[in-house]
This record gives sequence, C-alpha cells and structure tokens, in this order.
Amino acid sequence: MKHKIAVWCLRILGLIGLFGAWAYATGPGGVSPILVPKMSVVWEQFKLLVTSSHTWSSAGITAVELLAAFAIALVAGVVVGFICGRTPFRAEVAEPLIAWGYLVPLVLFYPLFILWFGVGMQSKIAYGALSGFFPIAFNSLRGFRAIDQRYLKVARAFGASGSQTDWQVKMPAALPMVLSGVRIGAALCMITVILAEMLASTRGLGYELARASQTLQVAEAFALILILLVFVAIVQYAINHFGKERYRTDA
Amino acid sequence: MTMNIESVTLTYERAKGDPVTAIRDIDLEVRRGEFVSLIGPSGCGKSTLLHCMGGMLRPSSGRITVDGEPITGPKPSRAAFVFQDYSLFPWRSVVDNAATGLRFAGVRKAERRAVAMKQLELVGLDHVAESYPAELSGGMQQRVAVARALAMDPQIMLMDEPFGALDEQSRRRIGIEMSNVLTEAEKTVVMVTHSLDEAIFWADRVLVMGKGPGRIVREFVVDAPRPRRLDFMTTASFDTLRAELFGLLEGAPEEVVAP
Repeated sequence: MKHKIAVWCLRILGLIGLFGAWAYATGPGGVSPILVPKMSVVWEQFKLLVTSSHTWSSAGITAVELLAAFAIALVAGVVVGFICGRTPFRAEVAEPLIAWGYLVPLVLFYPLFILWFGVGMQSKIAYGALSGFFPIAFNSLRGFRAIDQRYLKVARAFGASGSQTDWQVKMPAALPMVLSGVRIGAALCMITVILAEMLASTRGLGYELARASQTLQVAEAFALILILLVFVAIVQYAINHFGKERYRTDA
Repeated sequence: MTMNIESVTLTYERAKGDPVTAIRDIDLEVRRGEFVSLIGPSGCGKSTLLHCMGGMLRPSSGRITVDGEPITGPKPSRAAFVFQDYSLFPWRSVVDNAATGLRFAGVRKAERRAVAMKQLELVGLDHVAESYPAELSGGMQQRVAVARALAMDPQIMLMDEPFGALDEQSRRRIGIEMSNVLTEAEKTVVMVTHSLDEAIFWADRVLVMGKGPGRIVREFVVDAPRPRRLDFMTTASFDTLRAELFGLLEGAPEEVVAP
C-alpha cells in the first residue's frame, strides 16, 4: 500500500514537472507562442475541439480505420501463423520471411498503397493491416511451433480428433504467445494508421494534426495531440484488458 | 478382460546409424483386476512396452490384443494413461482436466463434469475442482491425472512412472492412497516404475526387464492380498522379495544387461 502511494506520488510529480516546465517556457522563459503555445490557449482549443462534431467524425474515421486494419491483421496473422507452424518444414520456410517483414520499414510501401487504394480510408487500412500482420504472424508461428509435446501426447492418448487437437489443445496452448503478438500488432496498427493519415489523407485525427501544424495552428496541434494521447490510452487499455492471460502456465 | 502380448518387438529406425531394437519378443498376459509392475534399468524399454500396450506406439512385429481384438491405436476407454509428467492442460480447471477424455469423446458438459467430479472425489480432490493446475502441488496434479484416466472407465490403466517426479515422502503417501483407490475400483493396472518399494507394494506381479534389447528376465508374484497397509513394507516376505529384486537389478548386471 505504502509502495503504491509512493509510486503514484512520483508519477504525479513527474507530470507536475512536465507541465511546470511548459508553463515556465511560455511565461518567464519567453519561448515564442508560435513554437509552444500557452497552456490556457491549448486548453481553450481543446474544449473547442471536443465540442465540435468535426473532431468526433475525424476520430470516428481513425477508429474505423484502426479497427479494420487490426481485424485484418489479427485474422490473417493467426491463420498464417497456424498454417506455417503446423510442420517444422513450413516453419523453417516461413519464419525468416515473416521476421524480415517484421523488420522492414513498411512505410516504404505506403506510396504504393496510395497508388492502389487512393488517399481514402482503404490505403490506411491496408498499411495498418500489413504492419500489424507481421508481429502477430511471427508470434503465432512461434507459439504454434513451440507447443509442448506433452499436451499433444495427452490429446492423442485421450482420443482427440484432428480438429479437436487444433481447437481444444493447440489453440489454447499457443494462446499466450499469440496474445503477446496481438498486443504488439495492435500498437503497430495504431501508430501506422495515424502516421498514414499524417502523410497523405483527407480526413482523420492524424490528418487534422498534420494540417494544423502545417498551417501554424500550433495551439490546435497541441490540443489534437492531447486528444490523440487520450485515444491511444483508451486503445492501449482495451488491448491490455482483452489480452490478459486467463491462466498461469505451469512453470 | 485379458490383454495378450505375443512376441512383440519394436525397432526404431534412426536417421543415422543402425536401427535400434527397443524391445524384443515380449510375451505377456495381463488378466482382469491384476496389478502388474514393470521394473528395470533405464533404457530397458519398459516405457516403450507400456506405450505399445496403449496403442501409442506400433510394434514392428508381434501383436497385442484385448479380448482377442487387436490394438491399432490409442483408445482411452480401453487403455487410459497416467503419464510421468502430469501433463494437465494449464488452461483448464481441475474438473475440466479430469473430463478431458470425455470431452474428446463428445460427452455433454453437465454429464462429463458429473463423472469427473465423482473421480475427483475418489482421489480426494473434489474441493479444488474449480482451481487451475498451477495452483496445485505436484502430488495433487498427479492425482488429477489419475482421475482423468479413471473418468474414461478404462479396461486397463497404464501408468508410466506416475510418481517419479515427487519427493520420497509424498510419493509413498500418494502411492498408497492411489493404490487403494485403484484396488477398490477393481482396475487392471500396468505400472512402470524405478522404485523397488513401489513395484512390490502395489503389485500382484513384478516383471523385471533387462536391456539390450529390452526383454522380460524374471517374474515375481507378490503373494499378499490388496489393498495393503503400509506395514506390509516391514514384513519379512516384502524384505525377501526386495532383496531378491535388488540383487537382480543392482548385484548381477550380467543377468539383466545382455552382452
């Protein structure tokens, strides 16, 4: 309990430090409001933004892109991981390819996505899905590949059919690894979708942020960043909540 | 129920080198209600033989039949395993683990849980039915594995060093407990073990295997009614048998280990 209080005190202290530095910079520090706007101005902008329907529809678009990208990445990643993890031969073929896709800066392909899908939502979904796919596929592959042989032995000895082994033994056995991939994949989806909106788009929170800073609406940009931080925090919370492992492994 | 093992040989092909014969020309009959223990040095093929009995491994030659019907693959209602490492599913509760085989067999949820609960009561674990394996001690986990095998109501139970991973004391305590449970359930059991005490205490017959390749070298009959009490271990007949077994396994290796 004491420990918890100390942790929270220090966290709050850190935030106070951050906002204090901000207040000092814009006040006695004499930093130009074009570079760093006053806190009060940002707050006014923030209130303005959260009451405007335009902001909400932008957030809605970003959320839809994110959800669609994540759904595609999740299904494709788990399926590919499962299929490739079925035999050592397939795993040997696929693992370096997927690892490579994981490491490549996929932003290289974004201009192509714009060419193929246009500047609308589809290109963001494609790019987000692709970057979320690799960590999910990679971790799923390793999860399915590393299934404890004891579980498969029990499945066989106790009369499990092929599909029962897949669904009732392999899936839950690989789940912790799959979930760790899903957490990374979801985070990457979010980063990519917002980045893609900033690079080239016509709507969405990322687009609004890029427009505000390019037109020197710095206070609005700061307020949008604040909104994005809240948005990210909500998504992160959802991921952690759903991704929680239901059981402890028998370590 | 009678299990007949007729001149069973199992030879493993290896990627490199010559094939290895794990067991050769094993002949054995296991009768209904009997408790048979298999003991022998490491690598004598006792576990291989057990896996053949359960249809988990296919003999290269010879045949294994239960009441005349040949064994072609695993079938838990005929032969259910208790493995050395408890091998419970960590994502399922204790009762669901005990019901694993029934679930694979397509038994409805309420029904299979009821059967599993009954077996858990038998092994004294009904109070932790909703716990998860990771919350249980090794001994408790192995009792769940026994319940899981019992739930299949198998004609024969095959136990592969079931208490090998436990410390001496819990091993003896749980061993006696499980031995009583299996005796009262009138189960036919074949158990592989490393422990002389366990081999004698549990069994009606002790089969000693030798290696290179694995074969049965001696058979001892333990002439005492089951279930037995702990003080059976202090009787003269137990001591004589134990000494004889010890001599066979440790003292005269040339008899057990072929040239």
